[in-house]
Amino acid sequence: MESNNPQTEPQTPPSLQNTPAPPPPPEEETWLTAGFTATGAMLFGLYLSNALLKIITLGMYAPWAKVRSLKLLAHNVKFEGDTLDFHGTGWEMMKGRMVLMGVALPLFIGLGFLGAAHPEWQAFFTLGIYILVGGLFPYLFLAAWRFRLSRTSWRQIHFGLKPEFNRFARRFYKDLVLTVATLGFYGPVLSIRMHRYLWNRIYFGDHQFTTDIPSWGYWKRAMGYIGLTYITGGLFYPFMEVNLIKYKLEYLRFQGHRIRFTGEGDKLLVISITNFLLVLSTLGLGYAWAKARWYRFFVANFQLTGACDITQVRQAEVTVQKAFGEEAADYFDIGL
Amino acid sequence: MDFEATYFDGIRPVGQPVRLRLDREGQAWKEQEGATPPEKTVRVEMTDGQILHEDLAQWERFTHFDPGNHPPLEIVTRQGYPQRRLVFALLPPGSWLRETGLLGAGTLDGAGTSPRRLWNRLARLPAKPKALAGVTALLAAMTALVVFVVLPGLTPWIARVIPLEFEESLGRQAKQSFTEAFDFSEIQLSADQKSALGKVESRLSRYVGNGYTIHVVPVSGGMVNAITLPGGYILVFDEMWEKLETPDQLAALLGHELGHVAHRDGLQALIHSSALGGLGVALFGNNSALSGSVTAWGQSLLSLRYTRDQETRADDYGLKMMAGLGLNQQAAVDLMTMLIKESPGADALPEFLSSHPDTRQRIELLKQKIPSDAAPGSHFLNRREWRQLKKIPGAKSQRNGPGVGYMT
Repeated sequence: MESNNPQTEPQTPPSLQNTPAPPPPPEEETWLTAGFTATGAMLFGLYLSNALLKIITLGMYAPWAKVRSLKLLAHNVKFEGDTLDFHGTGWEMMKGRMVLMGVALPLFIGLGFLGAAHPEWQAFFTLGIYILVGGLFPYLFLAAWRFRLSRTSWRQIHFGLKPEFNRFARRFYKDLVLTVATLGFYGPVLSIRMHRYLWNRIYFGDHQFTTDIPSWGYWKRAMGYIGLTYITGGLFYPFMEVNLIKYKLEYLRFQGHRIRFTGEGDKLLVISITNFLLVLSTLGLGYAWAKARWYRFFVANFQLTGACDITQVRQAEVTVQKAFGEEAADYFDIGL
Repeated sequence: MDFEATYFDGIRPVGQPVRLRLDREGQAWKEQEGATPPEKTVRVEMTDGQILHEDLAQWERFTHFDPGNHPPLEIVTRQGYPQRRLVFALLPPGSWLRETGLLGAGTLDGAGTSPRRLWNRLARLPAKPKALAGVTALLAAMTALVVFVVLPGLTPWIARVIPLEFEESLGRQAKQSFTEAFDFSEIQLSADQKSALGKVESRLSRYVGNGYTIHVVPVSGGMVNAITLPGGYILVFDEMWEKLETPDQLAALLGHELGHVAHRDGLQALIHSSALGGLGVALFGNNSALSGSVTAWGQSLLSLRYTRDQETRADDYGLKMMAGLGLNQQAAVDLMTMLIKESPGADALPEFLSSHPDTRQRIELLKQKIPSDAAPGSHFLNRREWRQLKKIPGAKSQRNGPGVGYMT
C-alpha cells in the first residue's frame, strides 16, 4: 500500500475568499499486494526430499519432484489473501519427457556415433545440433510458457497464453541473427521483444496483459546498467535487475491497469550479499533459506492497482496443453 | 457437523460463503484415525440452503494448514476442470480434520513439506503416496530390467550389425581421444621395431580373421597395462613392455586382447555405455551427457571395463590362440603371476565387487585349462625380433591413468 500523506489545507487569503473552491484532491491510489509465505525450512525439506526420492527411484521421480516444487512455490505466492495453484501432474510431465526422449535420444546418440566415426564431419554435426536447438528455441519457449500458465490459477481462474508460433519464430530468428552479427550488442532488444511478444498474449481468465515497452528505450537502459555493473565490479547488478523490472512494469498493463514493483536495488544488494555469506558459511546448506529470501523480495514487491476490479474476471476456455514443451525447454535449459 | 467455508466456483475469482456438512459416512470415517475417506463424505451447501455438491468424489489436497496459526485450510476437489475449491475459514486447531490423518495427505503436493513432515508422511502413507510408491517401484524395476537384462542382451545383437569399417573408424577416433585425454603418446618406433611389430600384427590379424586389421600400439603412460579399443586397436603401455619377460608372455597378453577384438567387446562396451548415458538423460533430464558424447565420447572408453564373463572368454580365447599357434600356454600363467606382483593391491576388492575376476582365480582357471601334457611349443618371435621389441619402452613418465597391473 502506498502511504497516505495528507497535506494540511493552507489558510485561504481573504482576497480569494470569493473565488470558486479548488477541485478536491485526487483519491490516493490503493494497491493490491502480493506476498511469499514459504520459509527456508520448507524449501530445504522440499529440496532434500526431492533429492532423496530421485536417488531412490533412479531419477524416475524427477517429473514429480518438479511438480512438487512448482506447487509449493505457487501455494506460497499469495495475492490478496489467496494463493496461486499449480495444477500440473507428474504423469503429464513424465509423458512429455518420454516423448522428448523418444525423439532426442536416437538423434543425439546417432549423431554422436557418426561424429565419432567421421571426425572430419564432427564440426558439421555439432553445428547442426546448435542450429536444431536454436531453430526449436522459439517453439519450445512458447510451448513451455503456455503449458505452465495453463496449469497455474488464482482463485481457480487459470492463466493462459495464446501464441502465434510461426510469427514469433520469424521475429526471433531475425533478432537472433542481428544479435550474433553485433556480437551480442543487440541482445537486450532481442530479450525485450520476446518479453513484449509474450506478455501481449498472456491472459488471466478473460483479462489480458499488454505492454508497449519501447525496444530502444530498454536497450539504452540495459546497456547503461551493464556498463555500470562492469565498472562497479558487479555491485550494481542488483540495481540493474530491480531497475529493469521496474521499467518493464512501467509499461505492463493488466486489462489496462497498472502493475508496479516496489523493491529497491539497495535492499536486493543487501539480500544478495547476506545470501552469499549464508550459503558460504553453511557450506551450501543455507541455499534453501537464501532462495526463500530471494523469492520473498521479488514476490512481495509486485503490486496491482486497486482500480482494477478483479471480480470482473471470468474464466476463459481452458485448453489442455501437453507437457512436451515444458520438458523440452527444461532439457535444453531454456529458462522461463 | 457444519463448517463455514468459502467456495470458488472456477468461473469468477470471488469466494462464496458455504457450509460444509458431514453426512453419516463422513461422520463414521472421521472417527477412524488415518482411514481413507469414503467416496461420499461431505455435502456443501450455500448459506441460502442451495446444495452445490452432494459428494466430493475425492479429496485432492489440503493446504496451508498450520495448527499454530490456523490460516484458512483449502480443499480442492477433482470434480471437473478447472477444479472446484473450498476454503475453510479459520479452522480451529485440534478439529476433526486434523485428527483423521488426512492432513498427512495435505502435505502431499509439497505445501508445508519439511524433513519431519516427510518422515511422518512416509510412516503413515495414505492411498495416493502408496500408489506413487508402487508406480515408482515398478519404474525402478523396469529400469533395473533394462539396465541389467535388456541392454546386455541387446548389445551383442547391435554390435553384430555394425559394419567393420564403422567399428574401425570408431576405434581410430577412440584411440585419439584416449591418448589426448590423458596426455599419453604413441611411442615412436624404429624401422626394425616397426618391422617386428608388423609381423606380430599380421599373425594376429590372420588368426582373428573376419577382416580385422590388428594394430598393436605402444603407448607411454607409466603403467603396466594394456587396453583394447574397438576396431582392432590394442594399446600396450610402456611399463608393460618392460615387464614382459618372454615373447610368449607377449603372445599371451596379445592373445587375451585379441579375444576382446574377436568378441567385439570394445564396441559392445561403447554401445552399452552410450545406452546407459541415454537412459540417464531420459531419467534425469539432463542433456550434458549426450551433448558431451558428440564431442568427447571417446573419453568414455577410459572408464571402459569389460564384464567378468568377457574377461574370462578373452582368457580362453588367448589360451586357444596360444595352442593354435603352437605356443607355450604356460606363458599365460606367468603373465598373470607377473601382474599380481606388479599390483599387489589390485585384488583387494572382493571378486563380486570387481569387474575383473580375481587374478588368482584366473590363474587357477588357466591352470585347469592347460593340458598337463602340453608341449613346450615354439616361440612367438625369434630372438632378434624380440630384442627389437624389448627396446620399445621410451621415456618413462608417471602419469595417472585407468589403472595398473591390468589387461582389459
